[in-house]
Amino acid sequence: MKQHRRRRLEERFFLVLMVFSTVTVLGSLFLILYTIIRRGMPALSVDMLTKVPKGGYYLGKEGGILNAIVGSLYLAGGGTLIALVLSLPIALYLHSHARHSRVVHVTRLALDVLWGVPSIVYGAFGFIILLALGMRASLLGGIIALALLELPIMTRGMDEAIAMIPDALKEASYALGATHLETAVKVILRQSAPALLTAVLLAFGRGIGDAASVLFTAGYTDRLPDSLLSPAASLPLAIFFQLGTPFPAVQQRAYASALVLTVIVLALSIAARYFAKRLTRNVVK
Amino acid sequence: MEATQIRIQDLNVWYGSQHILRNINAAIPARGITAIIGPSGCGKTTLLRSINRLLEETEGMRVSGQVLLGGVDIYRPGADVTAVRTRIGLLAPKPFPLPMSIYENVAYGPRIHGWHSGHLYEIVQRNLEAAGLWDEVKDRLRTPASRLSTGQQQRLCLARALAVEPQVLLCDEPTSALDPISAQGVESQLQRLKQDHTVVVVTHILRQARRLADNVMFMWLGELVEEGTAVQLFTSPNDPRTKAYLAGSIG
Ligand SMILES: Nc1ncnc2c1ncn2[C@@H]1O[C@H](COP(=O)(O)OP(=O)(O)OP(=O)(O)O)[C@@H](O)[C@H]1O
Ligand SMILES: [Mg+2]
Repeated sequence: MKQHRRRRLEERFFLVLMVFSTVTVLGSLFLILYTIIRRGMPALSVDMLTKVPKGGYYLGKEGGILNAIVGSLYLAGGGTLIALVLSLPIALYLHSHARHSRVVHVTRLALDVLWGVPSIVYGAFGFIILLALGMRASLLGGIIALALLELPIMTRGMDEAIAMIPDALKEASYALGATHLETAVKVILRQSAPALLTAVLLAFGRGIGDAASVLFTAGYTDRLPDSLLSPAASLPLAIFFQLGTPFPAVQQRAYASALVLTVIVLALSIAARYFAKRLTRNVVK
Repeated sequence: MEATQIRIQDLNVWYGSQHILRNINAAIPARGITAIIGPSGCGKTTLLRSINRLLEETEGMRVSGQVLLGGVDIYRPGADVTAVRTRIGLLAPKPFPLPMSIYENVAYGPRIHGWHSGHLYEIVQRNLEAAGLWDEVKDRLRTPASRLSTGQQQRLCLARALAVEPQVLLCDEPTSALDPISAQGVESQLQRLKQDHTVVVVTHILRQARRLADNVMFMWLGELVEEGTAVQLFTSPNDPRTKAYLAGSIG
């Protein structure tokens, strides 16, 4: 009888704990959204989205943040693409025949360490490389810094996704005379596709929201990027610079910029969910 | 006297320092069904997986000895593993459809071996028929295979294995996940397949072995204790361990 009571109390306690945690998470998200919508919405206009800053923009005059929107999409898109090209083979390698080898253990450890490296370090590191190559801050520099920043997140995400695949499923393919590569491409990638997409999205989100890594490597400009070698603006830095001005009108534009950034990430998440759901169709449980 | 399809010579398997299979010597005749019986953990699955070289996908497994398929050692240096596995198919105890449609599951093998020409559909149909699944799925070939019932999935796995035209079919407790009716279906497919395939079936169910087997191998703690025709082994086993096992399991 006492036993019974104790177990019911435990159940109660954990239920309350779970509800509390969930409410905290949803509450914070709601508060953040509420703040940027309330403060940013009034400043949001067609001009904001379609024009680059004109002279005096940072004093509250005409213009918009198209330079930062386009710059951010290029930077994070390019960085994600490069990270993807590198991550997928690494993740597959971590689960190849060498999966218990030293190299694999060290690679995983290195990725975990890289994940923890603050993004300003990627920025500084990228900056030194740019200097050594005799280049200046540019779209390309920013893309490379973001690719490095995103790489560990994406690779470890994919690593975990592929680790979930049962051996018996791979063996079903081997038993039909398929090679490891054929199995990787036709079975492993298909089976883990929804989770791989999530890993890509997480990495993109981290990349597009990061200010420190693009500060020195991509620089900032009021113009649209016209080549890989010219500087590029980005939304996080646009927010940073606008918030740093003493003018309330410009600070409001910072919130509008944050809203734009959030909407981009949100739209991508929703699109990714939709595609992930379609990809789940064939997944074997 | 029937021709020998598979000859196993001095086969030993270790996992780390654990000696899992000890000096196995056996001859599996061409065509017909050979049943492997024995208590749990005696190495039946391990033996089966060493016959199509799937064992080496498990890290830490070490194999020595020879497995001759039609007189040629599948473990000889330079042997093509994928060719070995194509000629010797395996049906696992639990069905694992590939993450694709019913049609693509069957077409998977022929595709990777480059037999994809106009008659892929016919290949799919023929093998689904051979596995006794065609009538149930012919109207939904494009739906994901994971939506089939377990019994249907197991027959799909059979069709998929047959589609690469193996000479030998290894079945590891092929009915253990199935209800009696589906099990009966799979059994009767195996009965038909034995006309032109060499079928090896691992089973825990002695009655199944009696129903299906032309030849029987009895294993005990990693050793092959006895092999012979079903009639001989079931009616007058030579080894006391075989006697005890047959008696004990019947009771
Ligand atoms: N992947 C593995 N890792 C470690 N040991 C293994 C592995 N597979 C099999 N073994 C060991 O090899 C021995 C034989 O196992 P096996 O699966 O071949 O037995 P089995 O006869 O098929 O048993 P069951 O009838 O229960 O399926 C067991 O002692 C088992 O612990
Ligand atoms: Mg077994």
